[in-house]
Amino acid sequence: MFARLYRHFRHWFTPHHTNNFRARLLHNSGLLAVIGLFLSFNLLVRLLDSTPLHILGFTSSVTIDEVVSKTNEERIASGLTGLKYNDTLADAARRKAANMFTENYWAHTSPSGIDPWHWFKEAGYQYTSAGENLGKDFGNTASLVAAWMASPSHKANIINPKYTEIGVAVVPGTLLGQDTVLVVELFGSTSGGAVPQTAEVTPQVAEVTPQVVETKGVTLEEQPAPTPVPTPIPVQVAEVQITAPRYDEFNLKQIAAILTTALLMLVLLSDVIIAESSKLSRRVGNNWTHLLFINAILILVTLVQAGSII
Amino acid sequence: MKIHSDYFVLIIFLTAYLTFFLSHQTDPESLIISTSIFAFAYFCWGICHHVRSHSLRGKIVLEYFLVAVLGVVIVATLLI
Repeated sequence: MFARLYRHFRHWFTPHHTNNFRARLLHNSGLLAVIGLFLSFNLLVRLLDSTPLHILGFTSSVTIDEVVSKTNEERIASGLTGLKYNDTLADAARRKAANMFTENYWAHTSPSGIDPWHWFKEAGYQYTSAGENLGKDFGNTASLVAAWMASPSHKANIINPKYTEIGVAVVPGTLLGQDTVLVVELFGSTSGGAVPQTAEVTPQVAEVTPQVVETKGVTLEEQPAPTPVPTPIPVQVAEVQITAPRYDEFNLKQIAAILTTALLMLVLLSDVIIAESSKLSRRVGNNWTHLLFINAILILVTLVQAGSII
Repeated sequence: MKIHSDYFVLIIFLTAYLTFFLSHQTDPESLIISTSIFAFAYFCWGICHHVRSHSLRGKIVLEYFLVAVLGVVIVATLLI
């Protein structure tokens, strides 16, 4: 029994006369088998995720309070004062999140053409300056805010001295077919409200045409002539609760990716060591460069974190 | 010397890919696209390398293709 297992192991993972002196896993058929097995595993994970058993899913500890406090920490670290939490802005953020789930999109502007400023107006927030940061799939608040701070356009929103208020929505749901926790962070300053935190910034109330500035991922708008204020309608999407899944889908897929690449690297390394020490002459690809390529993939799948921002 | 310059080119590909990854960690779409480009570049590099060393075989072309596809599959299934 063990002898048979050993023979199989040797055949698949080390150069031997039974595999033409090249680990079977590194033959083209072996590589094809690895691709097939890996795809099958991921298909199984997807199928499990779509069952009502709720074994797999997405877990997140992101909270509104933490998003606000970490955003303010970054502002204070940049020499600015913190933003004041505004319920109307939070209402606008919840409306935006609800619309993203309803229309099923991951963008600043909806497929039906609704821009981010629509939600400010609908919630009744009269702004002179406004901005929006979006994030999804983050496991915790620290990594979310760190990702925003690593993006110049999102960082520009967080440390924009024009903003005096903030509203945040953290909403679990299914977006583009996947369980996620969506974070909408809205910034603003009101025409009749608080004065911008730094003296040199003056609200541009004299201009007639709204001035829109768009940068990659984040949109800023200055609107000198706010629209009439409708009555704010409370949106309850933030209260949606989902049962915590037993396993995090991303973590499971990440472990599978790391194990697969690590296994391939081990087999490649043992193959090259045995082949070179035994002076085997083979007409095969370059193991060292395969190692470099797979190593780059291993670095990516190890370091990449769940979560994306726009 | 001719073959050594091949490795230098591969190191440049690798460095460019990892640098791009570090600056776009939270942009899955860009990561998948950059991995596909890197994988394609590696496949082309493999063919050129074996042509220059007069060791190109159909089996080797398929080997580089499968290694490149495996890299893309691993990254894409994780990020999609």
